[in-house]
Amino acid sequence: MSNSPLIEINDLTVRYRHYESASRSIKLNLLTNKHGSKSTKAALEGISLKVHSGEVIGVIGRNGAGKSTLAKAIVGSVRPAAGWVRTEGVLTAMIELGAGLNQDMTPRENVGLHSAIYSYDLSDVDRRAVDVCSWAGLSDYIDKPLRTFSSGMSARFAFSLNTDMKPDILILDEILSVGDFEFQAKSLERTKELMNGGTSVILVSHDMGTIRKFSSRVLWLDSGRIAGFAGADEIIPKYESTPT
Amino acid sequence: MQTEIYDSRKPQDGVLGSLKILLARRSLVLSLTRLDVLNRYKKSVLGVFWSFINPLLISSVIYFVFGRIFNNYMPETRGYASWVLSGVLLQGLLLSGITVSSSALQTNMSLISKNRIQPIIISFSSSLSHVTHFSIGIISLAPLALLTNQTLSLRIFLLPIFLLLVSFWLTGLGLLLVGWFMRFDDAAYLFNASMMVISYLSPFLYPLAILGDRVRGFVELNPITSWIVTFRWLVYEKQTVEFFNIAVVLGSSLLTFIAGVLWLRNRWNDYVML
Repeated sequence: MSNSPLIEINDLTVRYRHYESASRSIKLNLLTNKHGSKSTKAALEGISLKVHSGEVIGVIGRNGAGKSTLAKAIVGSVRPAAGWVRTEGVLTAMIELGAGLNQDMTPRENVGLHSAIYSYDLSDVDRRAVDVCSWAGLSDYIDKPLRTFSSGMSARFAFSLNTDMKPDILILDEILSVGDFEFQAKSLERTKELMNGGTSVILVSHDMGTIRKFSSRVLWLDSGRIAGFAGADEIIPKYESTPT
Repeated sequence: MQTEIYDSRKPQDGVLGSLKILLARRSLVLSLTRLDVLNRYKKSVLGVFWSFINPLLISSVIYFVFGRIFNNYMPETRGYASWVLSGVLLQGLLLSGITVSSSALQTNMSLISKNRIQPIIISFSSSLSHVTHFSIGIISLAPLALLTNQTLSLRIFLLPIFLLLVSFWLTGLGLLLVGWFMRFDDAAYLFNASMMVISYLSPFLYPLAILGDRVRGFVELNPITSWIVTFRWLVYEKQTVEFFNIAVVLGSSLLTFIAGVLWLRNRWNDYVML
């Protein structure tokens, strides 16, 4: 791999259509003649950053600041209205609790689906499923549907699945704050191992302790714009002292 | 090993790009289809047998109610029972297939928005899974055709092409409708009710010959009519088809797919952010 940044974002703007009507009924919208009322809103505006191999970028901001949209833009699931995003290497993302898993499937089936998405060897699914569940402490649940799992169990499984493949870029959106103390310690240990191996991490969290402990730099987003981008010691006190 | 590079400056996939993706990621498409088919039968008590039993039950009821009338319009074969089963099967495929294709994107939004997986792959896999379910149901046509003196045609070997066209049609409509289904809770209900009306304006249940000229002309313009007539022509030896019907099948399949892909390309951000 070259020495170029693993993630490069230049003047990124993401917009989406916002519908004025709160109703989720076609009939009501037609009757109240509000079906045409919509406006375009910017979820992110003018974001630029570069992330190199082994760096951890903590992303902080109030709810609705654009943290998850930034993660989705890096994944490529939302397209920029202006600017651009470039990533290099295998990327896995755990955005919100669902973390891209199929709730009707068992861990074994989800490993199969994940392997198919990332073009892994499908004959290796069973061994991978055993490894993933064993790390997550879910060996007894390998053939139980995910919808029967608690949020902590789902988070453990998602983390184990996404880190098992040793990605070049790992996006963690609030996933570490879900599990118990033991899981948090274990997952932070694995995150460290990945970082030492050169994985770049985008760590989105409201937990300033985790952000401070792991981040090389912290990106503070406010209403879709960069409010600050520097070391944790500089950004976090400013963020915490800003009134909501 | 080649380094995976994502660059948003690369133009978004158009129609040809989407077809290339489906071809390049065919193993993922097939894996998702397989998982979807297995999941569908795992959730059903009767499993795969439901694919036979459901259309047979509906057709039996229709046959006992309308058989005596409509058999008279088929003097050569009196094969209304198997004829109506073919209509019921295709009606089920087309109607529920559109909802399945749209809701696949909706239910898998978490998967799509958090992984690098193109929505076209999810939508097309879901259509293929629905077509597979239909193909299993087709097997029930053979014994009924034998019992009712309907000769199956060798054209049946062209069915895979027909089913591929159905998959493109369902995918296109699914992509066109998914935004409505996501934004409005009653969209699926209104759509299903409208499609039910449209499907009754097609000869899935009755022969076209019973209709007067004016109504018949109207029904013939319904694209569902062309899908049904073409399907029956492929399956039964004594059924005929006009060039117009084949052209409608080909045209509606390709145009709908193109429209769906282009629509989704412009609206995708709105759906992910909903």
